[in-house]
Amino acid sequence: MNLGQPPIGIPDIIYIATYQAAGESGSSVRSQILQEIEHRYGARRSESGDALTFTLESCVAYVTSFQEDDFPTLLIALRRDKEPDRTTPFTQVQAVCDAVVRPLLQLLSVNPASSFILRVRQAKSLKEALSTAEGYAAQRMRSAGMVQECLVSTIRDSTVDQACSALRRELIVSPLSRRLEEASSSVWRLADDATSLASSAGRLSHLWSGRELMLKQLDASEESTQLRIDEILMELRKPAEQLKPEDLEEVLREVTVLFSRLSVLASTMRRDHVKASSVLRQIRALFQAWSEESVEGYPTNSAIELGTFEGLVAPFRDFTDRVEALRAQLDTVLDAVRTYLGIQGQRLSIEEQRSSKEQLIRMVNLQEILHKFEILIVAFYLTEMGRLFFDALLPETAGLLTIGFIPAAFIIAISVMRLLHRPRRQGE
Amino acid sequence: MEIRISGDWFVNPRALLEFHQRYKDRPPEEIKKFSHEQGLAFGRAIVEQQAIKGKDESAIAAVLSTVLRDEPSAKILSVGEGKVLLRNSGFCPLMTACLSLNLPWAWLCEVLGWPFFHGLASAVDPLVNLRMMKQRMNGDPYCDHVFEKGEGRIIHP
Repeated sequence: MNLGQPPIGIPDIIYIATYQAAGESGSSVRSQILQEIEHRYGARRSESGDALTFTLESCVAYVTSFQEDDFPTLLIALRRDKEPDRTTPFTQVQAVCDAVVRPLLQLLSVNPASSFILRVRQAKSLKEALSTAEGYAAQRMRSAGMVQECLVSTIRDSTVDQACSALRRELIVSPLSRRLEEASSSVWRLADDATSLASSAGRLSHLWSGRELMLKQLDASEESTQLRIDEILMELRKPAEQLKPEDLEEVLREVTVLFSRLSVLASTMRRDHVKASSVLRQIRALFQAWSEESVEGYPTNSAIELGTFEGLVAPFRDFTDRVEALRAQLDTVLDAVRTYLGIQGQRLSIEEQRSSKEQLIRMVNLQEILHKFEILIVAFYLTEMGRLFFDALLPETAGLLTIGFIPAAFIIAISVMRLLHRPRRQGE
Repeated sequence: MEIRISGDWFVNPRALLEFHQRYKDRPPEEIKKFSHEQGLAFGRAIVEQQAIKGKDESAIAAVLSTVLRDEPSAKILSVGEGKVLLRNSGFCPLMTACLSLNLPWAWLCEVLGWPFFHGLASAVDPLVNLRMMKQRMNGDPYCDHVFEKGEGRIIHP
């Protein structure tokens, strides 16, 4: 943004408002307002076409607009037509300006994302500037400092709550330069910075207000999720025989749902945090460029504002960190389920091994029995062969000889079986 | 144009996004009526499927339990004395969808969530009231839905 040196000299009041309006609707809001003012007050357009100058009652008015991302910003500046009269009290001058600017403000939307009012009064010395600011603020002066040869004082806004404190700012700007041109240049440089600040503050405030409800819910949501995680872990601590596969399936389903939701929340908030941090960096750079000097023990404007804006950004980071912590706990739950399933698997495989070993022993036993049967059968066969042989040669003593032959038949059967099984074993 | 939404909207953020884009400018009463009817049809199907009998609080609790079986953020806290207390805490699906897709939480609960649940209970008893005792969008730590005998309407505190 670069305002340059608008053709109205040192204004008495500058009103800056930033709105949220996405894409084309933002530029249409700006052009509609400028057209309405042009039509209503017979305003003169600047060469670039984005600024208007016109007379409004006893004042000269200057209106211009900017757009950064989805946030159009409008600036209205007023200067009393007559030469500044130092004897007129500042409060009286400002009351007149407030009354004159009111119809113009009514053309704007009622809910800006941020609004800055700069009340300007030239001063001969710092003492005079400070006394003007303190007199106007009436015990409500929040901060003050020297910026670009101007005393800039911020009035504490008592009409809004803490959550909306980023929305409205009322500043008193007193250029200390005696030369009119230098003073005017300082004021417009400050107005330029205030416009950037209003735009940044508007973006931060919009981001914050969109998430405020959720951020406020974090404590309660975190607590109930934590309780549920504890319940699940308790469930998993039960003796293995009490845990059924369907219980584990239910736990896995629940953990999956929770995990996916927490992932979505964490990534959304991380995205917002990145956006907010980028705006905060711009604000920080602007205040750094100010190199604001403190005045009379007042905290500087930049220090207070930076604290406020950092306070708006921090909850996004906190939200992400806390949701990530819950996610890590869900990882523990998943690990517990995995470990439990692993132990169950191991137990099953040990049982399987045991049963297969028993089966093997049974099979070996069976084989040995079969072997013995084979020997018996061969021995029986040999004995029968022997009986036939003895019956044919020595029929009288065949019975005795057969009985005597039985041990020999057994020895032959065992030898034959060994011989028969040997090549098979070698083959193995 | 007839109002429509996918039947799994409570676990489908995309359905909620499309629903908001299509109907955000429709009169809320029209959308509420549609959501109530969707809940009613769903509730009737469950009553028939699960063979739920009666019109008392146990029957209402049975329908709600079936619908919310896989939802970790919803719990039936008490059933008795003619009332069912359903509590929604933690990271509920509507809240998560609203956060991730920049949807208006209050609008979705009011025109979709509550009428749908009221419709579910109305499948058991058309004269049941849904009294919203606590609302998270108002800063309460949880949403308390009390289903009780009445005139068949949704009551806000």
